[in-house]
Amino acid sequence: MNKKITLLLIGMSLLACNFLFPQTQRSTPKPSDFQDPEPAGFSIVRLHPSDGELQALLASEAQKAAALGRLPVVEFDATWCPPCQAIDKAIKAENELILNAYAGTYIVRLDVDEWGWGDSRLHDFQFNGIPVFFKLDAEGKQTGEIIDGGAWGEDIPENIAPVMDTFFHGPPK
Amino acid sequence: MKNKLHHRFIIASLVALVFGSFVSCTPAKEERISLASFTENYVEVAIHLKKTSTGGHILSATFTPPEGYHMYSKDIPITGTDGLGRPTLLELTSDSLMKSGGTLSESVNAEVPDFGPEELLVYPVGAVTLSLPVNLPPGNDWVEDELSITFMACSASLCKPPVVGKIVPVRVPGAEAFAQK
Repeated sequence: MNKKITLLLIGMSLLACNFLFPQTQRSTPKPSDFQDPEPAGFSIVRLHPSDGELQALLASEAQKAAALGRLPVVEFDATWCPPCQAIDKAIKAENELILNAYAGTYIVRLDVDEWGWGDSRLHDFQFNGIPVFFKLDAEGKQTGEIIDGGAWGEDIPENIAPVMDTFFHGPPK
Repeated sequence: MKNKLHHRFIIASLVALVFGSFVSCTPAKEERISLASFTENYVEVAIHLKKTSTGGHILSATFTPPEGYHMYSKDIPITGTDGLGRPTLLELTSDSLMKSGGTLSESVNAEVPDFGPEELLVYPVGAVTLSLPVNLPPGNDWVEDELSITFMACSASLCKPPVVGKIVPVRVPGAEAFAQK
């Protein structure tokens, strides 16, 4: 009888221990750099060619976007590209206009220095300049909706935000 | 009769004066040969060698970006300003037979950009020509030579990829060969 009680107590202690001090979740290492500036806002992920085949990666990222209820978008950029870095700078500075425009999006960034420009690895992602954004569907495939920096002129948040907001969320109602 | 002749003489003198002035004011013709031309990353590059009226030689490269695009100043760092942009450069390499005879000059002055880092100097929208005085290799023959080109084109909000240190093979005349041209 005492033995049963002892075993029961040990079992309950283990359950309580697990409940009170949950183990840190050990997920598989992320194949990409992940940045979530604001949980309720938007996500930015950077993929590298070493992470795997692009279409498979995009399918996976689109699923993650769907799980978060966000719109998956591919952005091509580069460290030497002033307009690309202007967007990044505005995001890091938490510019309200940009944060609002990007709300609800899941941005998958691809550096053209890594992925190439018109490279076969990019499948049918074709573009003439960066930054450029491609909307993805739930399977990580292009929807055909594209926009590039040429749409907003000088690269300041006041110009970028309304254009990107309309691209991401449709025209203002 | 005498008046008529006098009148004709005056007209002929005036015509000669106008024509003479026109000819003397026209700058001495510079001999120019095309060394190479190509389009890469949406920018047209044309490289020429010319003999100046004073007998010197100038190597020049004209960079023509797409409409609405600009090139970056030759004076920004090769790795860009804080990593941004790339300079426009026409350079001789250590293997070049032509030797530099002066400093690189630009056809238009670079400007502070309307937006972005102030140090990231840009040329006005459109083409820019860089010129470098050179000493041609001695001799009477044409020889295989090379030079190096760097550039990148952007508009206010869109960029084409840079070309850095592209080696361009060229065939240049020896100093004596060009002197006889």
